[in-house]
Amino acid sequence: MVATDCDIESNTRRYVLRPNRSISWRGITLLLGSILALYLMMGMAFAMVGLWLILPFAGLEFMALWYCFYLSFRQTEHCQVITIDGDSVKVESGRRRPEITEQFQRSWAQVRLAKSTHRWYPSRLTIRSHGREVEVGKFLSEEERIELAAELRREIAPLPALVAI
Amino acid sequence: MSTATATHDEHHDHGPAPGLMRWITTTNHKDIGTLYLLFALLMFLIGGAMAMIIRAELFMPGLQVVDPMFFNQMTTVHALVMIFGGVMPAFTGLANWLIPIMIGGPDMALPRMNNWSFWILPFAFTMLLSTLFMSGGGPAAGWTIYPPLSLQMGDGFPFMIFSIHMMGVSSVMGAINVIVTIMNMRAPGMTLMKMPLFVWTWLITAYLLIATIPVLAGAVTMLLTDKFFGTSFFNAAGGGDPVMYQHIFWFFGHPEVYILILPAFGVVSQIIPTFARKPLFGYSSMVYATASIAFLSFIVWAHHMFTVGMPVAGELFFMYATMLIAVPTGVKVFNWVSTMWKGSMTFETPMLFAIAFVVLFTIGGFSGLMLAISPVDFQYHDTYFVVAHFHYVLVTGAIYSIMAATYYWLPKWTGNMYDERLGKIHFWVSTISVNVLFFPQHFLGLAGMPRRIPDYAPQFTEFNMISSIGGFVFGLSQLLFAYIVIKTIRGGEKATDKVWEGAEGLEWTLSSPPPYHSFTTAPEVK
Repeated sequence: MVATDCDIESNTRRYVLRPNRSISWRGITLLLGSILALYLMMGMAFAMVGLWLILPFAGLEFMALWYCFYLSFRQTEHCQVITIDGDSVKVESGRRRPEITEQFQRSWAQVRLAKSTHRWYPSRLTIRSHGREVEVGKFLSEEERIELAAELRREIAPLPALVAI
Repeated sequence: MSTATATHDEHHDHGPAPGLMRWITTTNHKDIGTLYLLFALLMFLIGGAMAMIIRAELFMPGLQVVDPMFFNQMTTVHALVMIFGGVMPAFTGLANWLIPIMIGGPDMALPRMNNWSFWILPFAFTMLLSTLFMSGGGPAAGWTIYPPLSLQMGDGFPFMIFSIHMMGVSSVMGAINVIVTIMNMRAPGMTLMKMPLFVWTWLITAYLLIATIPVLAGAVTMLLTDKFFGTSFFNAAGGGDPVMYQHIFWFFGHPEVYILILPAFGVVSQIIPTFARKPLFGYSSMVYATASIAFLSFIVWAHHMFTVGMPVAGELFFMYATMLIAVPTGVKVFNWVSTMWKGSMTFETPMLFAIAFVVLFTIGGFSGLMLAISPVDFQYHDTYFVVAHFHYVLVTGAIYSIMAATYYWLPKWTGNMYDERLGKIHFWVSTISVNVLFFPQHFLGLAGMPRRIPDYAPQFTEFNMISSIGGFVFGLSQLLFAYIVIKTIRGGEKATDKVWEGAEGLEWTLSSPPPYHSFTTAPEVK
């Protein structure tokens, strides 16, 4: 998912890129809570008649389910923010807060969209300058990546003043 | 801008690994789906060969082909192979192939775990089948492995228990993957009540799996500790209760029956509207009926053990609860028939199998209702009537739906059309022979022929001969099925993207065969 906002006063444009997900963490918690309740009810009932070995297996399975949900949700928490202002292009990547930040000089930054060598695999969108490179929108769809590349190219294009010089 | 799809796997800029390594290391849902389906076909043929041995022995009274101990090993391992190696992996294969495509996701949520959950299976079944060659032979106490009989097994006992654990781990990982994929990776706009019925039935099946597998794991572990570690969970001499094993086994076992049939309901609910060229009648009622069946499956387990000695109140409760299941199941049958009502029907092979499913599964359902009547069950219990009942449900139910699904989606998977003429021959030979095989078993059971016994009284001879002839023909006709599948994989007339004129759903918007990664662009869900 790509969200764009623009601050005309400071001449800043920001793109926020996030992967898609179809359930909230609250939804997952409710789901896991109901499954835990079922496990406890079942496991305790069997334990009360002496068959206690079901409870540890139920516990193991619940932990596996929780961990898998956690892993899947974590992957959809990745976020990239591309900020373009007067003279710089900043790319911040991370989960809940910026963990990696790359900054490029706007006039030197290049946007590259490398097509995959095989149709099965997605293209690769990068911003680079002076030997440094950062991949953006890896989790986006092909259509979105192409659209984003075109927008970034338009935005990061050399400033009119510089072209005039 | 449109909405993106999360790619949950690292995709490198190259194709799949070459040769055999592609299949060993693959994390692609389509590859893993294919592996599951081919594995299920192999197990189906192995389990089928065991059924042939059973039917050969039962062709005539007396002992002719195998000794009684081996006969009992065949009935037991046939069931374990068909249930855990045939039907369940086949449905998991269908889930792998279809769920991401149907919900508009790029792959399963946890691709590496997906690979692992498949690759456990060949080891589990090699271990299970290897017990047949060990001292004391393979498991012979029936697939329910009731103690104390099952504890008399030879050296293979711990291997059997371990193989069941491995199958359980594989099933649980498959189920977790299905739940996480459906909950977290649906395309924008794909709300729960817009999901195809196949996805819904699999979601509910996955919940049944994760709820019941710990019970099976606990039960077989307690058998193991009773045999080797001196515990007495099920040993009456030590203060335990063997009947408690039956209770916990069937607390797992009855939902397991629905694990084997709910995805079949989903398959048929996809196929019938396509060939009736009408939307599915009563979509919401189908969803609620599936959920009701799943709920009821937890409160009917003791109908498998009416004769064990229960208070009358218990007998009545389990009898009425069991009969209640007929209501949501009836809703489903009504909806399938209503979908076909006044439809522009055509009868391609998948539709033939789907219609046969509706008719023959209903016969199995009716005999199930007869078995649900507790006082009558005392007569039917452990007879061939029960064998006929569950084979109508599982062969002409679950397996027929898998065959219908194969014919329906094979052109999408391979990009090639199957041979329609051969498909129809396969259908008619199978359908006639399967009825010749199982229908007489109703009469044998009503007349009192017990199951799991290699010999029988002479008055049962004719019906057994008829049944065995049906069995041999049905077995041989499945070789034709394997041939049709292989032929289609190798080539044939090219399939269009939509394949079937009346098909609806996201999978038909992809090319045939689909690209390696399904939806790198999230599709528009209307």
